Amino acid sequence: MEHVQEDALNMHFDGELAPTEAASVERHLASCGECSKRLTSMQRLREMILMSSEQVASEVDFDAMFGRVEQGTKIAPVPGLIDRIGLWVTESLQHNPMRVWAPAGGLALAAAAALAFVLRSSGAGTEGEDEVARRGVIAEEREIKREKMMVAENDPPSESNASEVVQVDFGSNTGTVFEIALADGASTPVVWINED
Amino acid sequence: MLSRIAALAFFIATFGALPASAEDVKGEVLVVLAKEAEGPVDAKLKSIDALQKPPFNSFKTMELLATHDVALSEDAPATVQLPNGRSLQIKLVERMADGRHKVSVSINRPDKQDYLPLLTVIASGEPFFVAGQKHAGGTLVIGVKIASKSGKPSK
Repeated sequence: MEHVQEDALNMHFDGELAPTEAASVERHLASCGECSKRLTSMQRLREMILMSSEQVASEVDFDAMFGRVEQGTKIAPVPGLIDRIGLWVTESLQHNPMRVWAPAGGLALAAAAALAFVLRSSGAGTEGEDEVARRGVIAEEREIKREKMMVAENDPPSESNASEVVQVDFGSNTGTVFEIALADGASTPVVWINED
Repeated sequence: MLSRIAALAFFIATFGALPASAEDVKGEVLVVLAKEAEGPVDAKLKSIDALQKPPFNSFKTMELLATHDVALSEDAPATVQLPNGRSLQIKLVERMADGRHKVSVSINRPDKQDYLPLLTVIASGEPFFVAGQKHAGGTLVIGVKIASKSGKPSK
């Protein structure tokens, strides 16, 4: 009588045999005490493993364990972007230098191309365009100066020594009213009409 | 007796105040063409403190186009013709107790009221400025000096 092979018995135990093969093994087990014992041993071993796992699991305080894991996650410092990049560069230089030099070369070429484009664009502008741009910058600077001046002058001079705007109507224009502080504590208002 | 006192008070109020209200307030209007390009600054403008400070100190060229002496009263506005065709009008609104004067200013084209219809300023003797009009490649800066009653010298 030929006994069931070890692999075939394991597969039968795991339910992995084809139905025809499983039926053949079942017929043999019904008439072979030795193979039946081997199968029974497998079943007991599985039960012991399951019981052991459940016992160990019952003894573990999972709440405390997860708490410690969570705590460790919070405390553990997350490396910054620069640190991660540095680590990547270091490891890449050691193991695969082309991973570093190829992107670096590409970036350098892109930067050079962008710089050349900017320089060429600024050089190609007409005088009129330059003048418009310059006036725009000057106007912005002047607006900033006016705003700074309004903020800086928090201490108004004595009333009898100061000129002040009481009312202004810019009509169809827009404008700004601000004050210029003078040396002797006086101030003088400026009404600036935005005629653009 | 009461009628005499009332009559005396009326006389003082009417005739005593008449010389002061009838007296015109003197003023001066400076019309300056300012440019950002390097150039000369009129010597008369160098003594005006406000023009040496931001934002006016960003103008490297300042030409004094005109100076107009004006006499201000409550009755009628003084008019100054500006080089860009608009006119500046100043009218005395109030003589204040502290020596300052409240004036109303407007800048408009003839028969128009859409540019700077109304600006009311209490002037202390220092010039106040209305700037921003574009003219001849530069910016018009108009300084208005109104003499103060306290006799404070205008710069």
